Amino acid sequence: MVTLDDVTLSYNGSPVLSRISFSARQGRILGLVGPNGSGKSTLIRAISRVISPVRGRILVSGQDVGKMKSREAARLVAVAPQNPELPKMITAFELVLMGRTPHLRFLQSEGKKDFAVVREIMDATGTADLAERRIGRLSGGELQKLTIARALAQEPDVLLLDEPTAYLDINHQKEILNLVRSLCTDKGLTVIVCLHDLNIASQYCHRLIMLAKGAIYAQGEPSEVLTEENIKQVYGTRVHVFPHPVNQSPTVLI
Amino acid sequence: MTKNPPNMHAYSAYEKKRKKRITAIILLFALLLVLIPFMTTIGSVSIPFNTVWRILIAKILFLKETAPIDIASNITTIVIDIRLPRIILAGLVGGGLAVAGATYQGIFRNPLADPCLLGVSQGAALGAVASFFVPAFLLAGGTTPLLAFAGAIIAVAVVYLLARVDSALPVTTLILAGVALGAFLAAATSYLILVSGEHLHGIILWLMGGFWMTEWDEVRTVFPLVACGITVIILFSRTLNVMQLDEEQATQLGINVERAKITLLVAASLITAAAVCFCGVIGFVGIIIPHMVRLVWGPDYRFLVPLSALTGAIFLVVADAAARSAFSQEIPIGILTAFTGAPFFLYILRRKRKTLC
Repeated sequence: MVTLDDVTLSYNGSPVLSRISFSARQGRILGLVGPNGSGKSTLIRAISRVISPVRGRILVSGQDVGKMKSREAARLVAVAPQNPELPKMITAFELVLMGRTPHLRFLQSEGKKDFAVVREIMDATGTADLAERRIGRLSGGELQKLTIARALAQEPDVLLLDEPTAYLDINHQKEILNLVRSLCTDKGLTVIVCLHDLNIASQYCHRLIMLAKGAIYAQGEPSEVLTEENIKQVYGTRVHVFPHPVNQSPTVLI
Repeated sequence: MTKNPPNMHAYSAYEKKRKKRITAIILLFALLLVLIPFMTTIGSVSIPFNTVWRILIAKILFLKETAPIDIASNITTIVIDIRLPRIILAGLVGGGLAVAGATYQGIFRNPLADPCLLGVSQGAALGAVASFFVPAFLLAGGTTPLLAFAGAIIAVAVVYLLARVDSALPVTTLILAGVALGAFLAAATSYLILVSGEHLHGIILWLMGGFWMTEWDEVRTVFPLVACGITVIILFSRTLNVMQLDEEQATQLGINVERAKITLLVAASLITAAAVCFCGVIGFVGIIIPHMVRLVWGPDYRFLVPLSALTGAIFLVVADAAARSAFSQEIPIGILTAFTGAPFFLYILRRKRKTLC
């Protein structure tokens, strides 16, 4: 469970998000939507302690992340960043193995348990056959899956995903999102995910938060948030919203 | 094809690579141990290996002055008090500079970082030259290394702050800042030399660098500094691996990035200062050696650091032997390392220029 309590975030003195409060529940996927520059990634960076709030507190499992040690925090919260910088010479296996970092003490090297965890996760994420390939030789989509695998190797309580489907074909999009959803419900992970694609957000998220102009514009179930009126106000463009023919979730059409 | 699931295979490949690197460390260490006595035979007076061997055995087994009687005492002096400290210092400096280079490359995530290119060596040199101006009554034994260290730390801090754009450290600004600061510091050093007056002789002797003035005292000062720096870097080598990701990801993986960065910068600068303050500025060791090691044994810092230390030590021990014997007169070792290092550097630049920008 993640709770933001009256949080203000800023870059170089200018506020990006002001006085935000919300909770993400365990076993649920919370989607963050909103136009470019609305502060979705900034929120992810704040929960993972890359930036610290200038006001308010961020609680993970009831503890203030600002007061945790780096390692302790990384065992609770893991991030699959969007388009990360990765060393090109290492293998995919070594990249996912880096996810074990917060579980290793100073001077400790990876042991049998770490290899077992990595193996299991690479099987589950469909990256097992990439294991020996060098990072420099992989496609954007493959790297995307590997960074998610690395985050899962941290065995976190909270998984933060920044545009996890940005580089993926539609089949891989479904594969990754189904995996995230099953992890969420089976293992009780708390998932917070930034999404550009409103239809994916509608299909896969239990709840949505729509950000605009440094504040929360709307929040609730996808059917409450993804309305023609909200989208017009936040994105400044007219769209049509229809119920999905199979599962009735709101579907946005241009 | 194996019947193993593919990443089972990756795991065994990972283990196999690990064993190969450990074997390499043992072999290189053995090679260094053999090279040291062998290199004492080389010089203006050629001494048979047999003789060297007997002197060393006698020295090690009987400790004090009981050299074999049939060997002239001046030969013993050449081996024990002139050549041996010089070779050991060359090894320490070579290993130290290689590790410092590998560390700077890791912290800055930049394949061209090197104590010389970052201006760290020039900072240490300025500090060392400035120490000649410290009034004699203040001049304790440690002033030169201390000021060299201060110069190195200040230089690396200034380059870091100048080159930083937001939270990133782009290659171009880093190299430009390092080169500009290096030139500035070198000019300041030249000015100090110009106005040095009575200290000129001492400074010139120091500046000519190389290892020709080496005595055991210098080995005794440099050894703990280099050993200490390398130990700290080895302790942080897994952290350095994770730091090859950007700082944001390293933080998200539980690394205290600022603390690791500062610890590693201090350790690498300590090594650089120790190397520079007795041997002058020796360029390119910090860039050639880690690159060769990476090409052969891969980028894992847990092996890169010890392998660079050993390869760097071997390289400088051999280069120093060449410097004092291959030409009609002894030449400064910095010339030799620049002759081999600069073309290699240009080769790396050419090969990697696409990934650098």
